[in-house]
Amino acid sequence: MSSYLSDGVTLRSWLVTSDHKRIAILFSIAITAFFFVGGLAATLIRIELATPQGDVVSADTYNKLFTLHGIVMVWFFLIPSIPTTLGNFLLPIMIGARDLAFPRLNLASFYIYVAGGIFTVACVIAGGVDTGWTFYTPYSTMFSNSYVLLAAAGVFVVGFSSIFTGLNFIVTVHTMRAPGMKWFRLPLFVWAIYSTSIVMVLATPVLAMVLVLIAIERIAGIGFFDPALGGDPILFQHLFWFYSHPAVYIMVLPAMGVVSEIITCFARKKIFGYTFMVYAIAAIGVIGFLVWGHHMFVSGQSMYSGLVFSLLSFLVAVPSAIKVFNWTATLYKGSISFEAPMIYALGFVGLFLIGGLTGLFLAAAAVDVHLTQTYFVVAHFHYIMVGGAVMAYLGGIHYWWPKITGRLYHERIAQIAAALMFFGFNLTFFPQFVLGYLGMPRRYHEYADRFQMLNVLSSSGAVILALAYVAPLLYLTWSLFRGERAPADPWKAKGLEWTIASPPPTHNFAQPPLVSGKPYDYSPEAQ
Amino acid sequence: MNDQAANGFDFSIPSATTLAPSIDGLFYALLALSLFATVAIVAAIVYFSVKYRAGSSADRSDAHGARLNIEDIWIAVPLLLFLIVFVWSAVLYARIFTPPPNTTDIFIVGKQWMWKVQHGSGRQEINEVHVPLGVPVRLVMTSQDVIHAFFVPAFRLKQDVLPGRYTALWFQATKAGVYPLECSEYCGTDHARMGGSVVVLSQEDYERWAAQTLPQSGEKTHS
Repeated sequence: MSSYLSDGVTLRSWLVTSDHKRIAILFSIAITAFFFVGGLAATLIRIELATPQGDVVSADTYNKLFTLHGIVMVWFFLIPSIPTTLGNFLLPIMIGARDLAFPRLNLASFYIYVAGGIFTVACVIAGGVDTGWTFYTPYSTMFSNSYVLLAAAGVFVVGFSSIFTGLNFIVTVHTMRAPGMKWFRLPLFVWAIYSTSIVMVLATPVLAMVLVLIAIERIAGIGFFDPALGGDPILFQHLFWFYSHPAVYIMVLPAMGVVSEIITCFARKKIFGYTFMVYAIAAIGVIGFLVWGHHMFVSGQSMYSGLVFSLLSFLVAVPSAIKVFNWTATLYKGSISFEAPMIYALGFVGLFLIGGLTGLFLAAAAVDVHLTQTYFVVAHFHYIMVGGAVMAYLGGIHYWWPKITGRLYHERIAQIAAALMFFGFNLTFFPQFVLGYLGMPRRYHEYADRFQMLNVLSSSGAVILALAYVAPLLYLTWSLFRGERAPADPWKAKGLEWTIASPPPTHNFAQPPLVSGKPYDYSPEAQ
Repeated sequence: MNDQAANGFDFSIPSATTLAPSIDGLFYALLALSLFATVAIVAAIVYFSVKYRAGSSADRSDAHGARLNIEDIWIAVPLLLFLIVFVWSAVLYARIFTPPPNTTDIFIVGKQWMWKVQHGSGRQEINEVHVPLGVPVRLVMTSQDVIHAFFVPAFRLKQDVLPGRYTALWFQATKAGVYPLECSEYCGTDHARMGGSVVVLSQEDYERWAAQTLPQSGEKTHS
């Protein structure tokens, strides 16, 4: 039987495909390219920060580098990462469908992503943008002399890709589940992608709106945000974070879904507390919309707003804590093995734990007054978004690699790379917590001599981290051409995706599968 | 600055206001809570990983059995702890944002990339803020262009400084000394160089200093 990979081999057959699996591959190539663009910017940042003097690049170049790093990593890598690749590939298969509800909309989503990417590349070629990824006004509207409009156009356009993908996933989960695939039989990965999709569809239009307002103020001088024109700069921050805080959950909810799939498989045990895990995902999605003001405790918003946002931020931590406890409890009386995906997943739990706990420091408004706008915040969100989301993404890529490509990779090398990534990540970002507490502000091209030791530690960690990111690119590419052929179910995993061939046939299932029970029907065994 | 600091090994941070020790107290309480949670969860993961590794002979009977509503416990316990921390933090946050009456007011204007300071006596200075020890001081701040933030790590305080409106920051310094002042809201090219220091003088020294209204060398200000 022919697989989706052999069903048409011309470039054209790939570029005009409406097969969700091929579109997932197109997305994965594109986001990988952007990951290394963003990574290159980060590398230059860490080289610059190895010494206190601003001696490698100019201040303006440095400002453009961290802006590029932020824009590319947030909108062109992290937000699309798991949904458009693993989500696109797996969501229809996991619910027993032949494709997404709107296959051509899915392809459109990819080309909109590419169009957004072209604006961003054009912005860099034209000379870059120096506003920071947060586009704070009135700097971005009236003061920056860089290519703000090109950058904003890129982000505006790529937002529609998010909306279309989200819409597609929501409709697919509602209408295309196989017979017997009831809501509470859905794998947690599907629940996570479903919740993420709702957040994408509801939050992204607000981002699009605020970017349009920036463009109008910058082009026409109509005052929305600049007080000199009669605007309010805090209004911008409310609108921006109304999107950008939920955006963190767009990044981390799919990661939680991936990790739930991996841990239950390699512990050979049903996920602990499936129902609670589903409610926790939903709770994070809902409460995540109500905490944006915690980015603004010192912004000049009212003290009472600050207190309410602080309380809500503590509440959103509860479902996250439940998830960590439940992953841990899943290991109890399991039969645990430590293949590369499991190392990534356990690494995720550790890093997400630290990222989450340091989030409590920032939710505590009184402590946030000292820590916000410093490297403590930089370290915190990298623990969540890089330590968390990227570790989970790579864990998922390794876990489903045999399914997606039909090939196996070199297990030992993959295990070493995963462990190296965990170590390199901590060395890079842990010192930044200390730097922040000691008072080093973020977005500084130069810094006081007393911060050098910790910055050198961080930069040396970044070297290890960079190696750990390049390694999978190499050995997975090798596996693609030379790897051993994978069986349908190399991990002895449960779930509909493992019941079909590796790589899957074009239409996934010859007959719609019949689902008769809960997911994760694992049973641990002593020997 | 001592040799250690020059080598980049100085991991200490002075604490120089009445509220700073309270803010540190909450910080260290959160640190203790976090360390406890991290150690407990990592220990559980490591213990389960070893005991229940594939091929071990550990007992797995009733692996999926009911567990005494353990999930209710681990919803209730974190929720309770979080609410305690929230109340603790909320009380402090309100104190940070509620200046006492009769503050000594100092007026500050941020602009790309400098701080202009004006004292009640009329004395002006740039990138240095002289303040009196032991009395509540309120900084009344605004910006001439973009958003800046006035950040004094030794005070554990910062406040965004906005164009078009005033924001305020109050403190009562407890130790004389010179403390770094940073701009912590990104404001363009020389953001990293927009800083200076806060100089805490005894009350008499401050009054004597403030009375010297003639601009001295290096302190010329705009007209």
